[in-house]
Amino acid sequence: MMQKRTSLAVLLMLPLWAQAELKALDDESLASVTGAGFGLVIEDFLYDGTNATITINDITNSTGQNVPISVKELYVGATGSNKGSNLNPVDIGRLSYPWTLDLVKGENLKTFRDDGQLVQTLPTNLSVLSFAAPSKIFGAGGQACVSGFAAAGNNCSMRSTEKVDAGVRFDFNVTGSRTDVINMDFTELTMDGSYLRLWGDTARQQLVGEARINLYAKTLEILSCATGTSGCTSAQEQAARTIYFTNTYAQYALGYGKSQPLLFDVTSNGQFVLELPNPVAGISNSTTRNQVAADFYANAPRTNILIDNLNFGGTRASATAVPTGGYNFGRNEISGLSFNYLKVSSHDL
Amino acid sequence: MALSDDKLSEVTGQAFMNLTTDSHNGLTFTRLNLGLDVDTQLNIKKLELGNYSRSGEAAGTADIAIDNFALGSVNDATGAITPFKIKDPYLEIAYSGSKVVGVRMGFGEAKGHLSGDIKRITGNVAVDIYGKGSYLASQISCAWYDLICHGAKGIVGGAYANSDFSAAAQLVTNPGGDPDPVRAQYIGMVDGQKLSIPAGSGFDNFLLGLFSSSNCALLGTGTCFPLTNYGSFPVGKLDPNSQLFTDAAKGVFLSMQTQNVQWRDQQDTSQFVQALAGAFMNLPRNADGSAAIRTSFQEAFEGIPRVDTCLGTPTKGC
Repeated sequence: MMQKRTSLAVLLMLPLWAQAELKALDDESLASVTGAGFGLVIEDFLYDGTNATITINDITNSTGQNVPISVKELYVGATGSNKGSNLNPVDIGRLSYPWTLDLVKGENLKTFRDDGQLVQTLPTNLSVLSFAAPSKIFGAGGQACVSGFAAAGNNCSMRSTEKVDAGVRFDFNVTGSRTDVINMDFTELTMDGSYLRLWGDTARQQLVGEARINLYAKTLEILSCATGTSGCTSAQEQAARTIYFTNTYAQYALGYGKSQPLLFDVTSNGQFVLELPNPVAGISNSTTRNQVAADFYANAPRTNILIDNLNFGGTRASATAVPTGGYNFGRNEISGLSFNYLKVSSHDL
Repeated sequence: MALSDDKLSEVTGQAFMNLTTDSHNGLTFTRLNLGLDVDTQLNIKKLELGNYSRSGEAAGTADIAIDNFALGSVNDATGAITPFKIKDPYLEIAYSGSKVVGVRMGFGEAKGHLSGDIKRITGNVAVDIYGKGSYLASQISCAWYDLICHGAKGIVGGAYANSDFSAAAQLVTNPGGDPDPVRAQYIGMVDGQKLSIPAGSGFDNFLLGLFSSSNCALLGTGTCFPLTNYGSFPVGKLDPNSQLFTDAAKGVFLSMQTQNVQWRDQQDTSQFVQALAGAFMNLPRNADGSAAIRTSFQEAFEGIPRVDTCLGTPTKGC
């Protein structure tokens, strides 16, 4: 049975940081408020889809036959859930650092650079729709983005109790006799500093945007078998079929509003095109090109992915310890990734 | 142009992705194929995969370690970008029973410049080195008493001065000239590897067959070169005259596996490529025998300057 237990506290913020006693607004009060945006905090959130299954169809194999994908065991709850077996409610965001939905001018929407400096990434005098996770904090009050792992930074706003455990399982029925399982469990997951910003580009006559998706997790474990089935029953069997990520973060950055907005389009034949244009395209003056390039490299967010330890198989001595045994791939890192240009176009296989 | 509801209702089954299965050598494979064309010019300040203790390797090193990695190039005179082109990437998982033993990301086709300060590479990197006899002769250094060497130098720089020489190269140890697929720092001719003249006669190649590389030396000249010499590699066939890519490299992949895994070769599906345990980069020979990377003797000896990969003032590390 699917359980969903939430109580929602929505706080209108004028401005966002001005907090008062938390009180739910009725429809009438809500209707009288204009502009400025929403701050969103969800108290006592728990999603337990342990016994629910969603089936995705119409992804095919090489002969065009359907390969059903079952999505199971989806959960989001407080940390310490022991892979979803001990689910408790959690607060998503907090009043001083809520999730936000705003319509604001580009110059009023600042972004923290990796060095903690606030910069403007969007053009001035542009109305931007922004959906953002709790912001980062550089300075007093900053929390460890990954507990006990300083390399991930101490500039998150969510405290350890405000992070979540989350998991989901995918069953890929790849052949009539074979089902591949990917069962993922995150601990202490948080998305501080993430955002999606959208606006209309007059010259291009289309919706454009910039996005930053930050994921910080103390651990991620991927089990490749269905618990309780043959070869996947004992703790030892399951450990041998588990891929362990320890102290992990991914910061995906797509787009820089000033000179490289993220473009997304769908062609008339149903294919999609995703593009990050050359930030100096169309600038004929070399001095101006160099200035635009220098601003791009100084201020455009970068993509960084770091897995402090990746281990296939083995066992953890404690819930968050680096595993022993199995194959240890050690540290893996992609840092400072920026696209001067990217165009991804889909086509039928 | 916006589609009407009628037109939209006629559109069905846009299959830009599918899932396929395979099996070989006791392993089963599942692959997510993506129908994508990716044009990109990107920079990565640090790319490091598999930094862990490995027997026989220096502490603190990684299976693949490249600083200032980049794909594609820029032209600062115009601000134009020459993208690295990827066609039909895929993600594949290898299973032993229900245990994941490997993951690879591969590309149906790839072409363009790959740049970086290469510190270590684990994998299979096939390189063809080519050039005129006149240049090759200029690099041959003979001891005064080595009459055979002097004779060879005279022939290479004389009768064969305008002939196109070729040699196959791969990841090697230096000194030693032995194949070194794990955390290699050098690329060159393995022991016993010979020069050839692809368009030459049987006699020409018989003559060249008398000389082979030994311990990173051939006719008094070094045949193994540090990877750090090479700022940029052309992946695919680069026309040396036009500097345009005329064909893509096929079978390029990056993988991680807990045991040696034989992945199916994408350019000849009857064949398999063995990837060693750990992180592994495969830049193989194409089905026609040509290498994924082709470079001149001069570039091999003197290094390949890095193409500009950053807009504006910097050329790398942006």
